[in-house]
Amino acid sequence: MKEVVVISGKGGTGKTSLTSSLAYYFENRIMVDCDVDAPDLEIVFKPENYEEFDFIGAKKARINQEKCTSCGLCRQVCNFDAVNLIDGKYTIDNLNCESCGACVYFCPVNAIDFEPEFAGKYFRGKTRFGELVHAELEPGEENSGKLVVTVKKEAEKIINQENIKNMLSDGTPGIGCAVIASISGADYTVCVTEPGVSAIHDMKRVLELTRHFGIKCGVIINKADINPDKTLEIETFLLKNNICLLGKINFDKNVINAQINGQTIPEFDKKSDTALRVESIYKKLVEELNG
Amino acid sequence: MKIAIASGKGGTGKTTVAANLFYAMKTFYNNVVLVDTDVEEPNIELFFKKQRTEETPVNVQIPEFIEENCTECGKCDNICEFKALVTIKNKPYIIEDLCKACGLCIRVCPSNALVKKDKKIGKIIHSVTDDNSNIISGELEVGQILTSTLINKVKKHSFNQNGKVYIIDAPPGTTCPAVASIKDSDIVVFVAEPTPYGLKDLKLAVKLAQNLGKPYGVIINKHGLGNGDTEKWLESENIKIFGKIPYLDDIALKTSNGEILTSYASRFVVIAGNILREGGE
Repeated sequence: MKEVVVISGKGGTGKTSLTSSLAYYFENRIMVDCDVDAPDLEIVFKPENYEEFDFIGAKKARINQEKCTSCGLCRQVCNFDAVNLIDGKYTIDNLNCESCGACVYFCPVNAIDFEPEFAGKYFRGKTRFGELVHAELEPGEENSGKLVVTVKKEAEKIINQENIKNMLSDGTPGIGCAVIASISGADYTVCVTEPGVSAIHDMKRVLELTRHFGIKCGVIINKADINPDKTLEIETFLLKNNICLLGKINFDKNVINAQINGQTIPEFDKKSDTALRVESIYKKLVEELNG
Repeated sequence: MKIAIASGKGGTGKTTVAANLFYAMKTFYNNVVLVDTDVEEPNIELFFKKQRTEETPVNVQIPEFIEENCTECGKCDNICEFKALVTIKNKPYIIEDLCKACGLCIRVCPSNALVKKDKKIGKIIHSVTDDNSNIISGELEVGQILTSTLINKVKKHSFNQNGKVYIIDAPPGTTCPAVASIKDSDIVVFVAEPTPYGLKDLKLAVKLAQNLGKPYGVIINKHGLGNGDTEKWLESENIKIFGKIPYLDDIALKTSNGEILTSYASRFVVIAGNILREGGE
């Protein structure tokens, strides 16, 4: 089985459109949406026969006011400023709490409950391209990394049961814990960038991250014709650093029209310039995967 | 007044809006401070000429094991919620990449066998522009996971600058980094793009602002791309639209070069006024 994860650093470079369109060309594949706080693959894939699971997140500390003696030790041992003192009453600020349990450990009267709570859902469903596993974290919840790991584990079950050969994942923007969880164990990462100062800066950080974890990364330059000078700058950088350029795609309003129709780029128009370019990117990607 | 510029989906134009609003806001107030809390991918610096820049490393304190002090008492066994400390034969081993620097194991150890050690998670970059404005960004070290910890330190540093208005460029999404960035703002401005992906993620982001009890409104960016569903939804939900920015090749090119959109300055002044009014200024 080969696992490919599409990432970008900067958001909005076209990860989801390219992941879904690459999925069109792959055979015997499963799709995974690792972008758990903005999961959009389902808009194109419209999964059916859903199975739904609860995601139980981190433990949440809560002070039981009946038992609390207001000694203040919890506030002293919290490294995250997550214990508020208002009118002599101690409470946990959930937005700051990192669920480390220090307050629970040191509370002398066991006044702090510490139980895992519901934090989102994950799903598996059948699509016209095979199965899709995706998730949705409750807005404001932490632990997106853990949910990504959960989603990938669910996908692995299906891969083993059905002897699937290719796993294609849509990652999240950034380089933080959700991205690290998405790319861990992958055979190859695809970085979708665009010719702009922000996207180039972010691409370089992504390439540093994949190098840090020893995972191969190839680059797609999307919307290449928006700024030809910057496109050349990216190509030169990739050449100098011996990084594979998987291909270039020009700005194309039909990418958005395909999205509005709930289609991949080749389904919208298989003979369009953009679709042909995606197809050649797919071929290059397969070479890279086998090389 | 603290104004957070946020979005559900990435790449809708948060940084472009934040950089241009920063200029527009200066027509109303003298001391406007720009803060970039998108510490995984900080970009706002790229839009400005600076007269000077100062970088401060941000450290957290993680445990270091001093074997000769260890009495094998077993108190640290199984204590780490993040599985960053495992004990083998009653002795601890620390997996630094998983450590969140909560300090619990250090506090628990009775014999000083676990002591504090500095670990760099990123840096704060404080720049002063040609016109003496302050721009403060956080930058996460590649491979590190303590995003929210760094964001909190960036905010602490920034909010000491006596700003009349703070414009905070937040990371995309609805999870902890976004929450850390917007939780102490007075108003949240969502930058949305009118596409199906954009609308779906905007709905999630709006839910976050509602959960946090924040006043909010929306700027529609790349107006003219996609379809009218986003506007229809905003109208049906009665959500304030602060302004619209068209999709134009010229804007795309200027932004990709890291330029401020001077020819659209008046539009951003109107948007800034709308935000200030909604925020009660």
